[in-house]
Amino acid sequence: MMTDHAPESAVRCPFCESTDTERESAFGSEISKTQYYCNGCNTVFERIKYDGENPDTGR
Amino acid sequence: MSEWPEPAVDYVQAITDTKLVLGHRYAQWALSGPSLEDDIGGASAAQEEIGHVRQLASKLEAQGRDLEWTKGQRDPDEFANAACLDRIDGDWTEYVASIAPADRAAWYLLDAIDRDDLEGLITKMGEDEYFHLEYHDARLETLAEEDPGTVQATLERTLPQALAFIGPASYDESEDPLYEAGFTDRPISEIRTAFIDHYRELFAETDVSLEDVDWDAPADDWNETRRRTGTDAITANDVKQLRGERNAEFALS
Repeated sequence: MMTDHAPESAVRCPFCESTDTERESAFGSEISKTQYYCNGCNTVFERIKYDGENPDTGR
Repeated sequence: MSEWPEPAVDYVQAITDTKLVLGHRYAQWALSGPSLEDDIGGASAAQEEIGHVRQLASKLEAQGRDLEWTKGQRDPDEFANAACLDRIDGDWTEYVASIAPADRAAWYLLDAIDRDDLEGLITKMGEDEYFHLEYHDARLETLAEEDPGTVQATLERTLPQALAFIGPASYDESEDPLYEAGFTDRPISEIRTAFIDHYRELFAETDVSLEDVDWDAPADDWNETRRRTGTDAITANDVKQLRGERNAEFALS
């Protein structure tokens, strides 16, 4: 149940701007970050998941 | 600040105590995770829980509750934390399956509060909790693959304790005093259903069976102040650490 709100296609590499990226790990150096791998420049980068969401309470 | 209805102070105190003990448990286990990321995440979550305690403690003080008492100057059996945090018996798996239900239950209780004087504070706490709960669920899913027996055995104990912390099933729209008073906008019975549904769904496709969980907890002798049954409590040593008696510089000030 990984609920990162950004669609995979929207995650752009900050180094080469390629969108050919894959999620490497749900949690990076902090629980608020996701780790990605860029197939364009073969670089690992992190993305902050924060978007101001509150956790779902089933309402 | 306007006065809260009678049982609301105990309700918020129980959430605050759960966060206080939760912060303590996160910190205690922050060097025991299977990876450095788990440890860093645990340390971050500990700081956030203690930050929430500071904010809630000031609100409780405004309602007449003694600040030093809230910060820990009391006996162990006066703490109203979720019982699943009293002690963690076992290893990392037992730890995750103990703290996760407590953190989620505390958030559901906070989310149900419908007060203008608490709204901004609760929204900010929710932004922190978003990552705590997401992390717990992701970890529970991996642990359900690696060690389903331990996850199941722990949840059979901790889920009923978390349900007792949420409150009795009989507290529906007509029986829940805080819902009736307008302090919350969701009766306890509805919060319980959402909480139960969440865990049933989370483990539906795993080898962890929740069939033997006592979903009807708590029993009739529920203590409304401590939001649990029975007389168990955190240890005297836990209280010493919460107070920072051994190193006052790290105490909640």
